[in-house]
Amino acid sequence: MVLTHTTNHTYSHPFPTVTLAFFLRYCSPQLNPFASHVLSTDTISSHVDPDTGRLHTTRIHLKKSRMPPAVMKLLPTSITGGAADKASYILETSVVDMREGWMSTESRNLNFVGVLSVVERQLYAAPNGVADPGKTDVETKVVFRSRLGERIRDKLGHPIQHTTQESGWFARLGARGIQRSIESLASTKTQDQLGKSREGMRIILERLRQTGIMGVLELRKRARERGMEAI
Amino acid sequence: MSQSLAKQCNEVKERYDTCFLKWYSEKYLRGAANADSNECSALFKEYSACLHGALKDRGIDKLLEDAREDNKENDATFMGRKKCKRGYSHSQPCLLTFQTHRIITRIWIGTGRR
Repeated sequence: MVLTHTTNHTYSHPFPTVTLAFFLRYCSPQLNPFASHVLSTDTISSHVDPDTGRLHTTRIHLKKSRMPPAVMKLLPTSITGGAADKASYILETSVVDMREGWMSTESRNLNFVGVLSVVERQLYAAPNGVADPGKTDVETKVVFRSRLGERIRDKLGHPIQHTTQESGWFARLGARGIQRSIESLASTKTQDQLGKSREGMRIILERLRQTGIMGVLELRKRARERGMEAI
Repeated sequence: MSQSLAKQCNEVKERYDTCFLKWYSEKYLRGAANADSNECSALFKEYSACLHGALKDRGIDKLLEDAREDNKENDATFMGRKKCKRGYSHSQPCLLTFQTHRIITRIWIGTGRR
């Protein structure tokens, strides 16, 4: 069971700036008011491939519950572990090729994958490969897949009484129907979030246009210092 | 950036992030980056060492392993896409890769359900 959602968008900013905004998008709520749900961001690897000159980066973000509340309500706590208020770990991998002028990114949730796996892939590039210094196209493809009831048992190796409980529950409600509902609920929520995520990118891009990277770094430093004082 | 997952790493993360963003905007984006001598690598080592324990404590290292195991079928697509120099949306072979992936996924899911 898979649900795919594809959208296209064009930013009125040059490609290098858009890639910089991608790395900055969870920088601080002062810079991006649409990132207040991001609790932490860490880089776990970053290297330039000496042969291709491409920059490969892997980051882990911790976001407030990625699972739509409606999905949580659908599920018994034996499956979610009462996780409605828990946070999701998101693995983000990105590859930038400055010579060829493209950036591809992928974000996927690391926990709750047994209930719902959301994989978002983006490709940023100058429009149709034409050197238009003022514009950047982005294609976003999100794949939703619920494997509820298919893989939980064999993958996680849950205790036997747990398994029995889940089987009974699925037998009553029909795993396929639930899977479809989960995917469709998640898809609706994601479409809404894509708009916010673009809005966040636009705010950062505008800030970069006005003050450049040094101005953004300064703003971030000041915000952090204010945060420290508050503690 | 926002906070680190591990509070004790916030300070070194902040220094690394600042270093990375400066390097990225001033060197990499201008084509002046040298793969062998990244000025942030010493900071990154320090930051990684700090983060290592936190990733383990929270079971994230295990989640990463699971993600790799669980998504082997996706890796084929990912590798395929990397070969698409101008991106998979603009060239036919890459579109085919994505279609093939969808078919494989369907077959795979279908098998799992039986």
